[in-house]
Amino acid sequence: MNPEDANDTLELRLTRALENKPEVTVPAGFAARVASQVPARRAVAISPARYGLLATRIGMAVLFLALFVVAMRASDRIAVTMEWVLCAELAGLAVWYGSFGSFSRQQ
Amino acid sequence: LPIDLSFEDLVREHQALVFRTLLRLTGSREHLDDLAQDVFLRLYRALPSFRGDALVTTYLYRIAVNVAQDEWKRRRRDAQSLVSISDETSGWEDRLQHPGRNAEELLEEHEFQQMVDSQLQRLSNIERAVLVLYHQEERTYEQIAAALGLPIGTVRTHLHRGRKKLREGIEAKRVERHAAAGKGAECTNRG
Repeated sequence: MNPEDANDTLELRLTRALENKPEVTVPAGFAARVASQVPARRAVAISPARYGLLATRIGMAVLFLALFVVAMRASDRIAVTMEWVLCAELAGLAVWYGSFGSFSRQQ
Repeated sequence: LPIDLSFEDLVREHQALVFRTLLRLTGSREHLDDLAQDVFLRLYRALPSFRGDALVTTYLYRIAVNVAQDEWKRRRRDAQSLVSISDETSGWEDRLQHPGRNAEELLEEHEFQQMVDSQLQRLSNIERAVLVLYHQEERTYEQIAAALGLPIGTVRTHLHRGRKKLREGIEAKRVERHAAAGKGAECTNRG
């Protein structure tokens, strides 16, 4: 065998030896033993960020203030119409907010 | 970590991987249970910071490498000599039953395997870790880099350097053996 062939053979054998996974015997009940040593996990209270909810609250507050401001100047037809529109928007938000609250409690 | 997977399930799923990686990295079956247990307990402590985009195996390999390094430090402190990775539970006698290969070939292969394993223990911790993860665990460069916190180029360098050192070590060992065998034969002829 020439030196190049010998080198290739050695490389091949080396790779094979390295790729050979050693046989291991995991003791019976190892997983249970390890798991018994860790403290019981406390239930983690997950409170996801609810930016939509926050925006709704702010929107409701702004609408409420706007209702007062418009009511104080409600002398013409446009202002009254505006008042009704704002009222409707506030009612819609209130209904949505209420249903969302009960939905999230169910979860 | 999938929500419905308990920690015990996770240990059961990955225990073989941890045992064989530690065995190759430490070169000894001694304290293997304790080391594997240490790996999983460290994993448990790291779980709160577990990022969903990382694989559990990446964490496990990283921890196994750290645990093996600690073990080497402990051994150095205890001034223990290197231990051979000789397979105590399944010796070469078992493998003789393999069809199509004769006993001499199998014995030679077993000796070569032992030589590789013992030379592997002479490498630096990082070279050994890279070689084991690449060859034995069949990880990609990217996965090894993620597990060891190294750039991919460094992983490649360690792999190349580690293999070179292994090859040189094996060749030196063979020359040594041939020289010893030659001397033995000479003595027999004289006698």
